[in-house]
Amino acid sequence: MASNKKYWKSVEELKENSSIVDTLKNNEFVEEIPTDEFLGNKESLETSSTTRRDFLKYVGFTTAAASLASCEGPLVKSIPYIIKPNDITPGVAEYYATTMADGFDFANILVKVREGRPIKIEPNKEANGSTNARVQASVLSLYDSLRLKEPKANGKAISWVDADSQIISKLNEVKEAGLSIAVLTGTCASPSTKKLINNLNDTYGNVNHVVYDAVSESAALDAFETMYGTRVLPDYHLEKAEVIVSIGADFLGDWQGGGFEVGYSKGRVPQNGKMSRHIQIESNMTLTGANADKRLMVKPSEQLKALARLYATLTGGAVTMEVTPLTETVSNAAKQLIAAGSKAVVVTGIQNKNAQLLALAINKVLNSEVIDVVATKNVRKGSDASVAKLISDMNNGAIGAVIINNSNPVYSLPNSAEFVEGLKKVKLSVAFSIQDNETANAVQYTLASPHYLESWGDVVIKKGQYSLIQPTISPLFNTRQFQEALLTWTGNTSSYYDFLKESWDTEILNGTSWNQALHDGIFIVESNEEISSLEVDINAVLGALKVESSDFELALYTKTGMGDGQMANNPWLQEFPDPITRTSWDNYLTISKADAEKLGVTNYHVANGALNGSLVEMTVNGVSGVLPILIQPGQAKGSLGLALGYGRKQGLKQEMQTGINGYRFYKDFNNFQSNVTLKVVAGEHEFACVQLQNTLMGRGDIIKETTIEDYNNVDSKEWNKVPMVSLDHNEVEATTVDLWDSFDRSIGHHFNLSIDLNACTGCGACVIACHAENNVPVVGKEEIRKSRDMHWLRIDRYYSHEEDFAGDNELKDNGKGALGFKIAMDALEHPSENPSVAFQPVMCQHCNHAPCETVCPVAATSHGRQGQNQMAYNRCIGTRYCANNCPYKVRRFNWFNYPNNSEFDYNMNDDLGKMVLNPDVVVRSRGVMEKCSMCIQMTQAAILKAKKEGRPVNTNEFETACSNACSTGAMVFGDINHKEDTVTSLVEDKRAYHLLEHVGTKPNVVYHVKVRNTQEA
Amino acid sequence: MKSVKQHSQMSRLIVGSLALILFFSINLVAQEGNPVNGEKLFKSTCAACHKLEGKLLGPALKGITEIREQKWLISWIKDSPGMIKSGDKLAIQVFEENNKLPMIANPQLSDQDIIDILAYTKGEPAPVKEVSSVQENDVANGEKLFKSTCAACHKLEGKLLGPALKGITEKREKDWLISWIKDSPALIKSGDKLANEVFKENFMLPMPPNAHLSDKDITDILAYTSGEKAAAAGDVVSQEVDPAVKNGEQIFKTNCAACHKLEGKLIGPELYKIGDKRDPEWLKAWILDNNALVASGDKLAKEVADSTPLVMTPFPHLSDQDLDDLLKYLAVGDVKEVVALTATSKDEEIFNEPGFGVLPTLALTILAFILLSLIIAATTNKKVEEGEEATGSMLKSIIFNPFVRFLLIIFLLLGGTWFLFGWLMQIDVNEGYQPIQPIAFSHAVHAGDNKIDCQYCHSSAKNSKTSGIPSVNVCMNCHKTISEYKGELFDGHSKENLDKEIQKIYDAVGWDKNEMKYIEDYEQKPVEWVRVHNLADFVYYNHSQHVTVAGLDCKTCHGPVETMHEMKQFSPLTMSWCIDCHRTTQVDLTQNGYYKNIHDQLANKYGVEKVTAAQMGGLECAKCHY
Repeated sequence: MASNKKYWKSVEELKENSSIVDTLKNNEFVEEIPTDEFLGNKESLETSSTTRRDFLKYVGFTTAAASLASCEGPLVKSIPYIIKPNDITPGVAEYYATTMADGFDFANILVKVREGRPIKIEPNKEANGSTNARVQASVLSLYDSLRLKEPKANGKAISWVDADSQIISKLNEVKEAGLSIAVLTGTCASPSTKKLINNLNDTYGNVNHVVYDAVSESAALDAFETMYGTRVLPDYHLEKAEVIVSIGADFLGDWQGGGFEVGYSKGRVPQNGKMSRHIQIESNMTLTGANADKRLMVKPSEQLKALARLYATLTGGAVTMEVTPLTETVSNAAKQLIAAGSKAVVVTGIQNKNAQLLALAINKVLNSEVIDVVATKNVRKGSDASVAKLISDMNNGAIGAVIINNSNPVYSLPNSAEFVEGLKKVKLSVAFSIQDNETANAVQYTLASPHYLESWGDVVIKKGQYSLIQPTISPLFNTRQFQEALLTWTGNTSSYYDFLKESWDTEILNGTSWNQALHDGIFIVESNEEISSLEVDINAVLGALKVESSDFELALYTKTGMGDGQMANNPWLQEFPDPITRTSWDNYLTISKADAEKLGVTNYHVANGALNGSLVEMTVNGVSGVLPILIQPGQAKGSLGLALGYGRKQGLKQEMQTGINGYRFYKDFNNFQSNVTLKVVAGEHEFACVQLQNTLMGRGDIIKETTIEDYNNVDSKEWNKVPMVSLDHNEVEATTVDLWDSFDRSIGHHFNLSIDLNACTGCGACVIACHAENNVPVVGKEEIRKSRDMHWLRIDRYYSHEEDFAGDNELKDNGKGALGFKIAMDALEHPSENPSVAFQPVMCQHCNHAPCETVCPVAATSHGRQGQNQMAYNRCIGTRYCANNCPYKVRRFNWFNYPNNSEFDYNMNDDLGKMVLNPDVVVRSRGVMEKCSMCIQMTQAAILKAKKEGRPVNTNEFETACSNACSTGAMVFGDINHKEDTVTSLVEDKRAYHLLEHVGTKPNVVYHVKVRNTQEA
Repeated sequence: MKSVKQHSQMSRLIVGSLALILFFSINLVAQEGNPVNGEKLFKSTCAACHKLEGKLLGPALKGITEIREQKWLISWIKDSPGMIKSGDKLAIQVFEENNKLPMIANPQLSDQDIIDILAYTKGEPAPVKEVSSVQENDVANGEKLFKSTCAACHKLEGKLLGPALKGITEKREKDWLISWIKDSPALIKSGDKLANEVFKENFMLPMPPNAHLSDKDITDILAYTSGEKAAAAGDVVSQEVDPAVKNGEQIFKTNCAACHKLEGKLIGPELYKIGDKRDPEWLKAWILDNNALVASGDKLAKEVADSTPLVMTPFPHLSDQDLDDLLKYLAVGDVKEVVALTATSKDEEIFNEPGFGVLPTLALTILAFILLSLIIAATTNKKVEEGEEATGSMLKSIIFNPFVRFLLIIFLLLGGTWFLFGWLMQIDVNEGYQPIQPIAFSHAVHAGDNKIDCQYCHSSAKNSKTSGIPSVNVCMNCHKTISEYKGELFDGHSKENLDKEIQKIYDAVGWDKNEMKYIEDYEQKPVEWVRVHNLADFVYYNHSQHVTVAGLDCKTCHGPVETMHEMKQFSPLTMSWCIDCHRTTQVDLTQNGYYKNIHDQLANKYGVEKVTAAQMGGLECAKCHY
């Protein structure tokens, strides 16, 4: 009975008489055709000299003229290479292994290259690579038309030779003056670059390398250094964990560089009746909190207390800090941690060295196997102290030259004004930058750098794992790498490639082939090092913990889509809806419902379903700004959330200049800010929020979930119920009833996609992968507000009552009649303060008995024998009957011609941005329906490859863009007529079910019931 | 009537089977190789380095087919350096066995040519000259037959009932013409594309079958139509040619031509009147064994040898007499044959009675007319009987007859719709599209005359969705050494004109044809070809699927490219055209490992060996539209 819960997507749905929800239930397309615009104005109609007959004549003439004009085909040129490169065959994709390392995201990837153009990023699975939404989208940033295209000196173009000679002479001046040279970079995990910076020090002396992360993990690094002697980050093998307690750590997001979802999901899929237990204590609703079994909302200041108390409880020490609302839960968590022993882990995201030390100490007390202090990670290196020192040194004249690479401090520093002042005082300021950003415009020499897909390089993401970066396209612009410049400035005439190869050959490869390493993208050096911890006085640490609290506290975070804001000019990421708030193109202040009511601020839906919100003026430590508010279920009372990475202006297209710069409030790089005051101001803000769009039309049971107890002890028919329908006045299982005769699908391929709701963390890498693979257009904020988003694959986020299932059921069952319903809904609204969350990726379900196919008047959508529901765009006349008849609301209508349309000034509107388009998939035009094709171009390519090689298709060879991008293994694609394919057994699993089984559509996408570990200790 | 019909059916059967036998016999010959042609090719191409018996520069070739597989040999002869590079084990072994002397690639040879050469290396005696006797066309006989059989409907020049026939052999293939002349209705019915096209072009006038003509007869007729004159009619007046020079020419062609031209540089220097520059005795010694000459300390030889990194092959097998003849030939150069013609044949056309092919059409028209008259009569007679209309105004009554008017309106409406529909349906169907290209590249010269394999240039057709327009470096594989056009002129181009077209390749890539090397720091300019076959963006077509997997011949869709000087779109490329082929094409499930399981399953279920592409899902929308 467990899965019979009431789900909702938006607080609006819980209201009793929401006219918006009612309207949306009945209307697939919220916007009517705007006939009023041209028929409504009576006056202009009457004064018009065009009569109806004239109008018809014009129409007739233009139609005839258009059809006559279309008789002549355009002249198409075909320009071959003059000398064809040996390894390129036009029309055949090549894959290159490389590594993304932009200072924020680090990933071993494969790059799909067509005719010399990188068009897609895939995880390099042989190198254990995994990708998130930003890594997937980074290929589009290569084709950013506003990139820096040439070197500049004080805003004027300059040649590289001139720039070099001027910079070298200035560096020598600085050297003679005895001043120091600062090299300011983002996290740089490249051994060869470090060597080059050392060479710079040898040449000019007094070179100081300052590492600056826009989103700092300095506290964790410092804590690890204190405890273990090296300034790195530990790794966490969450697949080994039985109990995970996270205090404010969004480890499924960007916490400590991210990438933990792979291990986490392995432990979350019930195997042999076991899965990990995850307790999250946080203030904002994060992706991690959304996946937790138990989630507790506390203000940031309380998190610190909770951590201290947890330590005290575990060690049996004196409890010095009282955690007002959570005492019991913290003790309970402590019990579970002790029970799990070495299979437990505690992580924290509080940017406080003492808090981080406490977490490390707890893991030491637990003797945790989960934390790995040997194979450490290099993905964050920034030091808050040295950045602060640099700024003061710049201002007091101790610094002669500043060389900035891959960093935008003028935008992202909370005290950027001081930094800009300092820049004016140095003799030489140089910035290497890909983008024409704030920092590039504040320095003397702006040196255009290539994108990582145009560069050479190396990076050590994790100790002993050496990755290579290789170019996959020749540089698009007149750019040069930072490393090349360092070589030139230190008088080394060899190219960076030669330098890199030589240093690898002599120091890393140890006789192994360079070509092999380059082919693999990674080279692993085994080591048996042991790390012993140093003695740290934890009591002193506890004593040093200071808790600052205030009525409102602000928690700054990074969004899964935008990250630190480097790729703000990337329309895919801007339009990517945040997994939690389902809002795109914006950042905002998240606030709890109670606080919103107290302040008198609201969110409300306007007539077409779009979301609007009130504005508040927030002041934090003297910095203030006007922000829109978004009421977020699960937000701790007294806490506020604001995403970093927005509000950039320079080097961005008009449409991308969205949101407010959160870094301004990021004082001392602390993600928790107290001393916050709010003032309601007049006006309202328009959000591009998709949470109310495509509602379920009142059809429930789209998500099924159960508890681990039921999963283990109760028959699957109880918790994975097949809906019953009436046949000949008997109740029978819906799956047994069929209107149609089925075809024999046992011969050939039959594709199925399996989605495990337990493994899916909602990260959205699949959404961007689908964008890239299928040329899905970006529609912009205004269109999103009108429910016209084009995402073929969306990740629905459902909230439900947190506590237990039985209570929910009772409420729902008793909720009969108008009054009963009101009571039920009121009751359900209460837990909306802290709901439990489920994510469900939904794309075309490729129904074997598809309702869309039967209503198409022109047979534009039909069924293939391989299980794919096919869409012939050239046949579609845009009646939209199919979308109306689709129970899953996965069809998307092209309201406009998105390519070559200045109204939609995104990547498809400029020549550079178009280079990312997949040549194997057509770009759809206006007036046609489109939807997920189950990547038929990929399945067909796999079949053709097998045919050409004269062999059957290999096991698990079939893939779709989403299944390929899914790092957690939640999405598995394959051929169910091929018994060895993984998907074949998944489809038979006892957790497997189809969406809305009672409709009888027999989909080829299969879901797995979400299991929650509700076992308390 | 009945007997005639039977006869025609019988004759069709006979002609059909004859054509079939002919087809297979031609194929058989083709498979086995023609040693006569092989001998010719061997001497011109291979003999510089190979002998049949005994080692020269390369190994002896007699019986080579017994040691190596034919397929391997073909690839080896076509492109041995490529094979060595590709890592073929055997190729590398052979290369090393032969002191790593590279063998020149011969991309100009077709598979058939190589098979011919291999047939020659078997050392088989040339077959009795039957084949060639067939080829010797009896033009006089052809003329006689033409006049008695064809002239009723055809003239040599200018259209009569059928099209003009002069030069028809250049337009169409001989085998096709034979089947066509023998029984054109059967050919049309068999669905032959070209036949149907010809039929339509000629207003659907059927051509009567000529079962009584033998192949030889038809060949003779064709010889006549090609404008050849009866042998007796003209005399070849040749110059007195010194047999020594002739022998010299032979020696030059077999031994030297691989590296030298008479005029102009090839790999080695030009040799015309070389005797004026060098002492004949020195030349002889040089040719016999230039290495020995250099080793002997001859100053001139050393100088010559040092001037180039290339080493010339020694020819110790040439006798002194041979060398003398060769030098004589080099002094004289090519002897041109002067043909004096004496016009004799009468260009007189003889009109016989019209062929009976017109008769059925006529009969049909008459029948239709009678039918119409009957209807009119049936409807008008009544009125005449009733006396409403005066007799004698038959025409008037026809016009005013409501039934006729009704019929007329229906006819006009239907006809109008039919024409409108037809007109609309041809929009954007670009069959026959023949744009002007930036270079007057002739497929007829490359694929037709020189028999270059399609995929030599369009090499990505087997790997990729596109067939690939060859890059200029592919052109340069051959055009490094071919800088002027020496073939038959076409399309009104002069030789000078065509040489300029070749120059365009050099302009693109930066090649100095006199120095025979690439120009340094040349700013290369791509060749902007005009695309002939344009599929809409929403259509996904993959060449490799059709070429590699289905094994389709390029001609199936692209037509007789080897006859097209300027490339044109042969097929309509409409969806119905694709679908029709998918409906009828049977997929051979037994040869490709991919179908292994599917074939067993299908065979079990339906008990079939073969299914069509359509049955395999080849008609599903999203197989081509995504």
